[in-house]
Amino acid sequence: MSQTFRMPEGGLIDRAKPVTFKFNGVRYNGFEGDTLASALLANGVHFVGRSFKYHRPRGILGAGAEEANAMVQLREGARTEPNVRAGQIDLFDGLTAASQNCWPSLNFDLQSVNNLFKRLLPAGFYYKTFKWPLSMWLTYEHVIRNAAGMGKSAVKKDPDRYERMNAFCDVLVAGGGPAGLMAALTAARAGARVILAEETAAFGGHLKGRRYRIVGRSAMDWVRETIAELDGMANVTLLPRTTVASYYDHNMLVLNQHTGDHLPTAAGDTPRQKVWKVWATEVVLATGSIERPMVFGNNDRPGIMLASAAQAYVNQFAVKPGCCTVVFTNNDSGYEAAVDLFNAGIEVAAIVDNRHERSAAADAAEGVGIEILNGHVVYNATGSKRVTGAEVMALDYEGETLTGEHRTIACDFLCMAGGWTPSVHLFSQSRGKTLWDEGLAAFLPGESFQRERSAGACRGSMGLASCLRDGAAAGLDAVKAAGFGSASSVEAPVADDHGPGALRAMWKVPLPPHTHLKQFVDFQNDVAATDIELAAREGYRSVEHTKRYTTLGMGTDQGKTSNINGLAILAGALGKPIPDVGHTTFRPPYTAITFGAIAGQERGHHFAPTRRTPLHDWHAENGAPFVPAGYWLRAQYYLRDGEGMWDAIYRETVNVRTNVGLCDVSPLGKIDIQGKDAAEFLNRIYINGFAKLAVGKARYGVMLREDGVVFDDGTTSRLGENHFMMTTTTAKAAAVLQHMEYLLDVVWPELDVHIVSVTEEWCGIAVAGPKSRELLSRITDIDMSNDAFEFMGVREGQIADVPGRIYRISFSGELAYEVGVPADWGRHVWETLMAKGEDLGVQPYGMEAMGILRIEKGHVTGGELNGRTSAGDLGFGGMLSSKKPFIGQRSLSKPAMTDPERKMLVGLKSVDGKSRIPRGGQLVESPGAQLPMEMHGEVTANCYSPNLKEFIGLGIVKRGPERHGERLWAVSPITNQCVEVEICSPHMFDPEGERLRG
Amino acid sequence: MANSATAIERRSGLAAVYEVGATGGSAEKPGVTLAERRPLSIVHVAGDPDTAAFADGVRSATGCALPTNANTMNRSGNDAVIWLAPTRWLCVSPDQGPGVLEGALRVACGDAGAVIDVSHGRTVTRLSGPNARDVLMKGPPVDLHASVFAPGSAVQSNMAHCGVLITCIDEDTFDLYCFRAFGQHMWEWLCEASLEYGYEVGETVGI
Repeated sequence: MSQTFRMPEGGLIDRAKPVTFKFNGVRYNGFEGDTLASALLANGVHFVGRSFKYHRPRGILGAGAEEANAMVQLREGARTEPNVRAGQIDLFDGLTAASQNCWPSLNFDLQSVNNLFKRLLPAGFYYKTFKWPLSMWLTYEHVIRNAAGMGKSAVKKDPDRYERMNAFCDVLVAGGGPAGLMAALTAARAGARVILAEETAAFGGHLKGRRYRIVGRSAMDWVRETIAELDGMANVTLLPRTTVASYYDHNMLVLNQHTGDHLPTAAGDTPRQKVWKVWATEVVLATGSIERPMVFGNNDRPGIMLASAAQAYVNQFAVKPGCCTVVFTNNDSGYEAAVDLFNAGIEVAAIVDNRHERSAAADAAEGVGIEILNGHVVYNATGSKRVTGAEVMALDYEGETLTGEHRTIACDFLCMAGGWTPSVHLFSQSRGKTLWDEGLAAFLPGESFQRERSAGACRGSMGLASCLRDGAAAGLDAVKAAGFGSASSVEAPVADDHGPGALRAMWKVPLPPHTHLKQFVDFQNDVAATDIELAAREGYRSVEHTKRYTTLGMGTDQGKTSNINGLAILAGALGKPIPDVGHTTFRPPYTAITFGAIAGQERGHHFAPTRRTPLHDWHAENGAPFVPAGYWLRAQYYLRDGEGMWDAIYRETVNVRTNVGLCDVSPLGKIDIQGKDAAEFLNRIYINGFAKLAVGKARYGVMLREDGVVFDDGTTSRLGENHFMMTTTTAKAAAVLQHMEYLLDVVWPELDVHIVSVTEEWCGIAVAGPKSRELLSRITDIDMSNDAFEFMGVREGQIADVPGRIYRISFSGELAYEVGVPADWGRHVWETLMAKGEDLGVQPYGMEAMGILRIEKGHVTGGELNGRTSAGDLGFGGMLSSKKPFIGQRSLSKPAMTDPERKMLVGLKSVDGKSRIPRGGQLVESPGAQLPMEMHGEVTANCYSPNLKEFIGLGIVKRGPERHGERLWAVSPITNQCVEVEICSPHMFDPEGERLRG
Repeated sequence: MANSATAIERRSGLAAVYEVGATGGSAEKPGVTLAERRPLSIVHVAGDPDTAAFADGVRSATGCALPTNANTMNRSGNDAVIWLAPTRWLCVSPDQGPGVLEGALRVACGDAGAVIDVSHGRTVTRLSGPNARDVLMKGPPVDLHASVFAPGSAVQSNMAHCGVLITCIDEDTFDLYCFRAFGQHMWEWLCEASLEYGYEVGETVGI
């Protein structure tokens, strides 16, 4: 299809690079350098979507982030993205996009019947109508949300990659227009580290869409020269296609860089987007301003657009938005646009200016013969899927009523120049408060709250010449504040534009008597002037409440074109001055950031880190599934051919008690403790004494929190007079280290103790079972005999030809050892043990078998060390030292800690011998008792014991140790289980502990 | 750990994923070269830097003066002493054999410092090339700009949810230390972050 509306020359597009794209299934042509919006207009397509509520036909309103109508569903399949502004989509070959809010098609949309009933669908319609009965709201909401919708998000996995960057700079400049460029240039020449972020693909801001001249030449020549200079400076980072989205505390700003959105597929090497966090010493906001629409009847027809947008399409993209236009303005900007459109070969049927006084800006327009209607307004637009004409009447001098003859001026597009709204979003996000400026009829940045300043149009410095001067001044101010005191000013070049002149604010165009026309304020949310006035009549006073009630300024565009018009109409309805009504809070981000970009690389297996033990690969190669333990992956069991999961687990469990098993215990926390006060330190943090522990011995220790509750347990070995190694549970390794660091740094800085985590240095291998001694004696030079190496002894020596340690400790209750070797040799030692123990029946065992072994022995882990149990509760009461103070000791005398009704550790056995005790089950006297029934305790661990051949568990029960032999019911409403259990000693297997000392 | 020689080779924490010569990204000339630095002797020392016996001990055992400025590193040949905290340092050198560097430091410092071998507890990745710094910028929220993070700088921060220590060897060369168990996760993360610049996996760096 030919680009009928493409001008034969001009524009910043690359005519040598044609591209094709599809919109609503129709193939079109465009050029590189186009946006989707400009390419559609080049093909004469204005009608691109339907509105949110009434499903009215909508066209292209703007040319960038301000777009409130032309939101499209971009791309297809896994890469599809909803609500993308057509003016912000850089065209690429093969692009596909579709309209939103229409079904079955854009041209014939069933829900457009809503438009016929629009008078029955006022603000708050849904809230008012669908609240009876209240309980049905959830049902209604589902249907309403389906009907409304704003495009559809992808349901398939996003194939693209996203990344994050962190950067620091002296001066961050937000916005690459004339003010931003001057600010960046000034700061950069002073030698400061400068980051210049520009939302669009090319620098220059609104200069791209104008025909201004700087120092007598095209303004874009100056832009190119300036960018070339900045690009050549090592201290400058230029970030095109990068939106400064959010401004947070401490001058930290978030930037959204569209690294790959302009490419057909960004997958592969280039991330699709990056989110930058920038910490800037000083910030220059040069975010420009957005033109306001005029609020007249049917002002939402396709073909009605901002005058600045029409100007940009003509100048930047060499696209004529139509053949004949009417410009409706309340300031001088409309005249400038009209002349540009005329020069592009477009018939400008009239400039309708609500100001009665003729502006000097009219000279140029009049000079080319454009009719100028001062003191007139466009009160209605005709047409349906495309504007066909402007209905114009004269305005009385007060601007309140229409007078004279009605006249319809035919046109195929209509430009609105309603004045300028400075983009104070980032300033407001930085906690700055805005001030109302009567002359510009806009809010401007007030006093800075953070280290920032605004420059150019975003602070009301309108016109190119003043933007350039303002930018230079802001850049100098910023760079000096950043510590470059000797920075010198850069003279702003001479430029020819002097701004939009005086404006006559008109928030709502008066209508002829007895006419009812929808005058849209917020296009995206279908909020008309009457909706705001209705809200005011219904008692809404706060602009924040009105926003939520009417949806004014909500949605993806966040009211970029509607906020000022809307709140001014509200102020009028309330009879208050505009600054008294104020504006809603500007919240980050400025434009939406996709979740993918926010997640960055932290997705899939990088959502959280994975810790792998030195034996990880061996486990994987030998059929082990892994179970997460914090960030660790631990081998769960080792499946052999023909086995089910439970077969493997029970085989491993029995093998430990009959032969010998190997278990990877590397994740256990290990802390090296050195210093002449090391023993004293341990005495203070453990409930039991460590001062007299002999060198070469290990001791089990329990530590409490300040409140007397058990914090952690583990064995600590004395390696030298002033050298210990502590082990912690896997789960509490970091917490215990932090606790100890705190105590040494803050509470007892006088102690000479140095601690450091050595968890990662060691590969830990539990060698457990009656044949463990025999196995180890085959591979080490350490004397393994019972006399030479007693229970709880620690020895150093060569193990499988590498240096290591052996601790004679047992978690399984068997004769057992723990081997520690430096991590890089872990696999070698493990494989040596497996090879040398083949005839002894050695087998690896995983977490499941380890869990059963410890339950059989009544050893506590996380289920029992649950942050509520005391040492006494767990049977460690006898370890509590009375000879020394220790952390948590004082809390032990609290009434709650001495309560005889405290729940204490017990063993549990399933009475019928065949029912598994429900984990987490509550222990009650009778499941049929009256509610609320007394809770006697709870199940903390459960398993089938292949060694005892029955279902057993651990629990904590009120006065538990006194109640051995008593029966209770373990009830789990979650799993709907109810099992009778008998309370017993937790030491269910080998209660005398003969095996582990044998 | 006793000072005793062994002929058994050390197995890298990256053994499952490390493939010399592997490349990623389409750039013709890789912007980043990733290589594991191994085997190394790494010893954690703690003590009072104002105690001469300690400071002199570290210097005599490593050849490097004890760096007392925060986030700095002193190097001597391929040996380095890296500041970790006001009373903590990491001494790094090409592998000297089990317990050798630890033993030397223990003898040199005597009672004045705490010395512990952590040689096997770290995965050290060397990133080099014109985009090495860009890759690192994707990680920790610290200022890694060349004007700030210059050769001799060291910083501890968080990257890909893991604690890391990064040292700047020269303008385009960095060493990234993380705990061994996180090594593979970090390696995979670095490879992905390097994709856009193109990367190449180099031979392990033994020095």
